[in-house]
Amino acid sequence: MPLFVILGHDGPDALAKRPVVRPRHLDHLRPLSEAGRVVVAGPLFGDDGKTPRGSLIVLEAPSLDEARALAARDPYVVDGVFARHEVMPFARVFPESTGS
Amino acid sequence: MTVPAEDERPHPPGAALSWTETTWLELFDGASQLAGVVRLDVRPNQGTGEVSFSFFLPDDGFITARHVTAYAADASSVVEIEDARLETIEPLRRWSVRYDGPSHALASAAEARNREAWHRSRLERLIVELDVTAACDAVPGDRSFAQPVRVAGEVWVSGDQYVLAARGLRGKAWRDGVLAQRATSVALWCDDDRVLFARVETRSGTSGGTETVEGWTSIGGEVRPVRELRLERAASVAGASAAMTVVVRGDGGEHRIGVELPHVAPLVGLSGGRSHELRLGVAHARWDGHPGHGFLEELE
Repeated sequence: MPLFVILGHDGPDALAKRPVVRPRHLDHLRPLSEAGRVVVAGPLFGDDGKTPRGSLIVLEAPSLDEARALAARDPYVVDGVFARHEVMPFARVFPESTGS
Repeated sequence: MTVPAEDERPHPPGAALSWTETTWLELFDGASQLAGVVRLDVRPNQGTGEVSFSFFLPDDGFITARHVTAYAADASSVVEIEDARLETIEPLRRWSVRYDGPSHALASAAEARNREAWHRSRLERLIVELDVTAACDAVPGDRSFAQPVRVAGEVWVSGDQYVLAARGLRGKAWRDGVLAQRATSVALWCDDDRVLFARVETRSGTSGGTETVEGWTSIGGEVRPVRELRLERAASVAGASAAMTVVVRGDGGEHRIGVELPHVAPLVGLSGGRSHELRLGVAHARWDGHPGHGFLEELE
């Protein structure tokens, strides 16, 4: 299945909204993760290493439209944690396969 | 009854291999509803140190980080184990607690009993930056002491910020680390500064077990020893959080404290060849009309 990157950029109220919205954001991603479709996902931080600036999600989806639809349903998008977000097709190059 | 500042430093270890010097901190922040337990166990006869951070999130999530390493206790005011740093800035007055490292997260504290849930647990980055100050003098116990504190700072869970202005209790114990057969511990602090810190435990003996009680109440700054501690459980109601009455009897008479446990983590372990379960619960209390918070632990 093709890979896509969802890149979310936090809005001005994100610091306050994140702890409230996060349980639903995790509930949104958990079925995808359990189905083995999430390659990596987590917050992006500012220079202090702890204040979130956004989120990166790399996941499998049948199509770009489906990836966009998944992103649009994410509570971080619906409830305005993200001021904006991008969805882009992605190809994994590294790590190289060990062949085992 | 005062606690000497020397008790902040490591004590000469006893002969038992399990002899442990434990430093602990329990806190609850009313604004964020975040509750946490920090614990440091130094076992000089085993040459190890163990540090753990456990936080109950307001949505019932449970986060824990635990590290065990080779460790040699010294007289330094700083203990560093893996990603944790605990410093005594002024004995019996001020401390700092720092951690920046990995932790495991469960969606619900109740899942802690389930080994499979731990295998599926999310990896979270946990940052703990806490400044702890004494709220009043420490109260001595049997090779131990406990002390009401104020806790200020921040806890970050993978970018989720919790700003804390919390109350809590901290303390130390230095003794043989063999687990009791059964034990119940209650630590509660109320908005009017009254405090309950008590433990009843049963250890094996010739007559099937010896029960001991230790602890104290502090009301209006007056500290009185606890002679009896027991729990009266309310009939369970499906979907409701566990509710009970903590009954304490001591020199100051009897106290009946209503307690609800909205979050309970059943932590399963193995010690000395015996499996046990430690149920660690966040306690919301009402004591003579005064709201309070803390923790209730039951070991079986």
